[in-house]
Amino acid sequence: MPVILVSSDNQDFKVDKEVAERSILIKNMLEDVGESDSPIPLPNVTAAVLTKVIEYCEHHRNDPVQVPEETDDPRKRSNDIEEWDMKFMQVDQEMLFEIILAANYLDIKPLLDVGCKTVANIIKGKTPEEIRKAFNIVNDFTPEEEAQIKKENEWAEDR
Amino acid sequence: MELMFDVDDFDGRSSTDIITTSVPVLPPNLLLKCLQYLPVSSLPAVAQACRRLKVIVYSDELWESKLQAMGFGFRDKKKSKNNADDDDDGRGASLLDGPIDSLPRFPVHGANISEMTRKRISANTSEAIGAVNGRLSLSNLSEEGYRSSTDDDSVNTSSVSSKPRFQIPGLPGDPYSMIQGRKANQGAREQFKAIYNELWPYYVDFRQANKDSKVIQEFGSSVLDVARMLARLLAFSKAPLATDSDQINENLQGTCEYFENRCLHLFEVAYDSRDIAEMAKFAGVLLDLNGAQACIQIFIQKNGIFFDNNYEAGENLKQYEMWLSQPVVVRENMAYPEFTPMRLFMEFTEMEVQKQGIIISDVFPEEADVLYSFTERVFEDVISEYCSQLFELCSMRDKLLYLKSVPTAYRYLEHLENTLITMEPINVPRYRIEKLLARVFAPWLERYLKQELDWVQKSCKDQIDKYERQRDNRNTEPKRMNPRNREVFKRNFLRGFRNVITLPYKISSSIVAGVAAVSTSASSTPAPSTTASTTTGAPPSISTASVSEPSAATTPPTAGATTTPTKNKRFSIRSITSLSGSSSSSSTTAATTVTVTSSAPVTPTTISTPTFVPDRKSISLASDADSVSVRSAPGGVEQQQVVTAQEVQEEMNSLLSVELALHLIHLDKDALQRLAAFAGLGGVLGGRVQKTIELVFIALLRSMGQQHIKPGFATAIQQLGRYKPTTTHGGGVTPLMDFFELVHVADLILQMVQVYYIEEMCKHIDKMDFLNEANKEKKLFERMIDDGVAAGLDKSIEVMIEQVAFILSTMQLPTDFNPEEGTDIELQPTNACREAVTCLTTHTKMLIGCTDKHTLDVFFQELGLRLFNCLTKHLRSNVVSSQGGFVLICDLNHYYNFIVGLKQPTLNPNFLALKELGNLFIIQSPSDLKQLIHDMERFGGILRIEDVFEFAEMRSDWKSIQRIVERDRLECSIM
Repeated sequence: MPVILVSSDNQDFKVDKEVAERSILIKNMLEDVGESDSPIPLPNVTAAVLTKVIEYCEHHRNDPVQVPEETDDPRKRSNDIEEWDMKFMQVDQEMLFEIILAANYLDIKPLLDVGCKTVANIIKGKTPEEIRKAFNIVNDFTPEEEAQIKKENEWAEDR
Repeated sequence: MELMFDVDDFDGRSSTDIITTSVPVLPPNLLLKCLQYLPVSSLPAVAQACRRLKVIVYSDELWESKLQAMGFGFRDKKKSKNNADDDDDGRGASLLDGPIDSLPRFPVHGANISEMTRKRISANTSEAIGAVNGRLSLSNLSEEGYRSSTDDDSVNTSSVSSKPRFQIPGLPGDPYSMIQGRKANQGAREQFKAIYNELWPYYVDFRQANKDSKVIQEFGSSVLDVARMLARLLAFSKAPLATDSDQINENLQGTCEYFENRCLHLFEVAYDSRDIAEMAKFAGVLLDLNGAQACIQIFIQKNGIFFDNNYEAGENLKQYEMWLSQPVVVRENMAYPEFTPMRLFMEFTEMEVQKQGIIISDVFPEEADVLYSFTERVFEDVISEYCSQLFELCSMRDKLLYLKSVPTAYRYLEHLENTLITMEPINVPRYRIEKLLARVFAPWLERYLKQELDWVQKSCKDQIDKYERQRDNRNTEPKRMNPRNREVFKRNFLRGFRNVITLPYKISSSIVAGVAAVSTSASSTPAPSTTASTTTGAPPSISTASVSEPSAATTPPTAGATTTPTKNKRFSIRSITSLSGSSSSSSTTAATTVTVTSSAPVTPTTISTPTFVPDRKSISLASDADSVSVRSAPGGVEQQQVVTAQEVQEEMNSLLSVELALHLIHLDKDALQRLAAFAGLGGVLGGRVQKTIELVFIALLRSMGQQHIKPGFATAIQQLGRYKPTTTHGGGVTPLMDFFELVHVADLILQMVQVYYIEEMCKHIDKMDFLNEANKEKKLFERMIDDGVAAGLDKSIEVMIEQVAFILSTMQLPTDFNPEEGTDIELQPTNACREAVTCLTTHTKMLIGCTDKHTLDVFFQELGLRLFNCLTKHLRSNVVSSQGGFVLICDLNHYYNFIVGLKQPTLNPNFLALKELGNLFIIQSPSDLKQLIHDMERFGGILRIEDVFEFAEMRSDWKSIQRIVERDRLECSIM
């Protein structure tokens, strides 16, 4: 039975229940509500982002449900992203963050992980200035402060 | 493109205006998540990017995740700190030194090694890191320490970030300050930093694939230190550290493998030269490195037991063949193949395990769990292979051999299990070894249980079939219990049976054979000595001669006036009871000999060579051969009759067989004894064993009941139905007697089953559990016998009454009650009456004690009533003169006495009334007669006036007095 999702800008999306349930939020909602064909409003997600998220869920519809402990694998590496996911994540930064937020809101852990890894990969190996540039960050440190922080973290640098 | 942060920074409010809020913004927890994926080397740059990012980079939560990645348990932080404080001052002190010195160095030599390794080593690498934590917690983590250390290198951090910030109560907390403020993991960054500082130089050294790394250079003097360092580096490398971590890790891994292989090699060398100290040293090193799994594997695999033992399962079969090839006599005196080769194999295994246990306790610390791994391998490889081979061979050779091999193997394994549990200096905990044994044995057990049940069912059926075939063919002389001694016989038989059933397994199995042999062989020959069985190692027995005392010959009294052949219903029980060699059982095996026979004393039988027979007992049933000849004494037609009757009787007698029941029970008992080996098993398997035990018992009852007893009864009843009354002598209606005999046999079998149930089954099942299948089946079995008995008795009442009617109609002479004038009358019952009563008495006596009292009561009552009807009918056909009236009274008294003898009070009024009828015929005056007829109290309400009139019509002078008596009768009826 398909489920109707409504984006914040009032667009309806008809998706299979199985696909929709990749989102733990929706899954729990459906479980709570029971059999009902009333549409599910998602006020935090725009149509554009929702399209993207549904695309991801469609592709991963058959993945095994992750065990909570497994997802919290502490050996976090940013470079073990599937090829399809990598391509999927090749979007502009605004969309990237939107996806991460949506994944967080909808509780789609694998998507959230992939998003965070992608962000990490953008940051990896960059100088502070490069990072600021990449994300359009304003440097709010005084030069002294910046020097101090650099000094404090020298130990962690790859010498 | 702009990034993030719509939330004001607590210490950078001024900058808010330049941050647009239109762009999507990641909340701190998501940013943290992103940063967790970054290698350590990328983080300083992030911290310098802006204040918000700096807060996150400095948050302990981020570093905690790194520590976790290294297998560092945070929950244990406090505990390990305490441990470091409390119990290991030495370590704590040494850890306080510089990083390199902090690596513990232990003297590695000789005797102390296991003690030391145990203390120091853990297969869990996290503890190695934990040691560092311990050090840190000592130096830095105390409140003071933490502050002072932050003073050192992060003075300016505080100056930068700790501008006074005030939170307005009630307002939602600022997420950044909340992250920073989390106290739980305080110090994680500091901890990480310390570890990082110490290990990073060694770690980064692996950028170049280099066997001669910094680690080896600096710690080369002590393999143990190298191992510890490598282990720590391996754990350290689990966290993302540098952008090229993968490459470095690979090299590190390579070095570890190289190192491990060298250590393994040295361990092997030490193993080959039996150098326990060296072995322990390298085992310790490898344990520190990676838990020494490879080392343990090598240690186990190098044991000769896995590839070089000379024990072959086939040997058992050879022993069996050898045993089979022996002549019968020798075979009987030798133990049944006890799987000696298997015993030797198991003993060898046990010794080897014990030997290895000592070595293992010297070489490996207990935590490494080597003994269990070794045991597991022994079970799964050596024992498993041996057993499955043995079982396979056995089941191909002989089904029974297979059935014996499995429990035997299990018993040996149980012994091994106990050895392992109680072993010194180290052992395997019971629950683990039990689980292991269950796992290894489960598949065999399953198959075995199935086969065992099949075997019981099949061999029960075979036995019965065989018996039936033999019955069709053979023409043995009938055996019958002497009615007088039946009780004695049954009692003795059951006592003997009980003794046998409680005997140990090995011995009893041979007794069945013995009993069978005795009873099927020509009866007067001495019991062949096939009952031999030996228990190895038992002291040689004292001489065993069967004690057999002929008792006084008893001939059943026969009341018939005709020439009655001395019915030699002889039943001799020759209980050949040996004096057992072992004094313990001698009391139970006291000779019980009851021989009731009129023939010559039975030759005392000496059974085989005494020396080889430590324990023997047998019960034999035999009857004498001459009974046939004696039986066929009467000549002419009668002889013909006897012969035919005898045939029927033979058939009947062999319908049920005590021997067969004995066979079946022993067969079942053997199976049960085998199954009992597994009775201690718990869990699912135990349940299955329990189930099979019940099923085996049920199988016995079913086959005995359905295939033997039930058809037996059916045939007997059929034969009873076919019987036509004929003249007999001495009152014995053969099919009837045979049927009663059958009832006795059935009762005996039932009691045997009961004994068996009490002695054997009750060990395994709860008697009171009425839902238990075995109990239910037993109830069914009992009911089936009861039903058979009841149906048969029903039939036999008919037969008996028919017989009585026959006797009365053929033997009652018209002159009996109406003698010609002038003849002297004898005041005693007529022949017909005596004959009928004798017939009844003979049969009813046979029944006493053969089935339960209730059934008998019902039977006798029914018999009495039918007899009453039969008698009234019979009497009416006679004419009675006043003189004959006295004879009639004699007859009636005779019947009455018989009925009183049955002890059924409800019957008495009927026969009392009958007795009163006699008066009808001796009264002379018609008016008195009239009065008598109308005196209803006299007849106790049993006979109606009409009935009494009918009897009165029997009077020889009825015609003359009829009018007077009838008149009143008419008056009465008008009234």
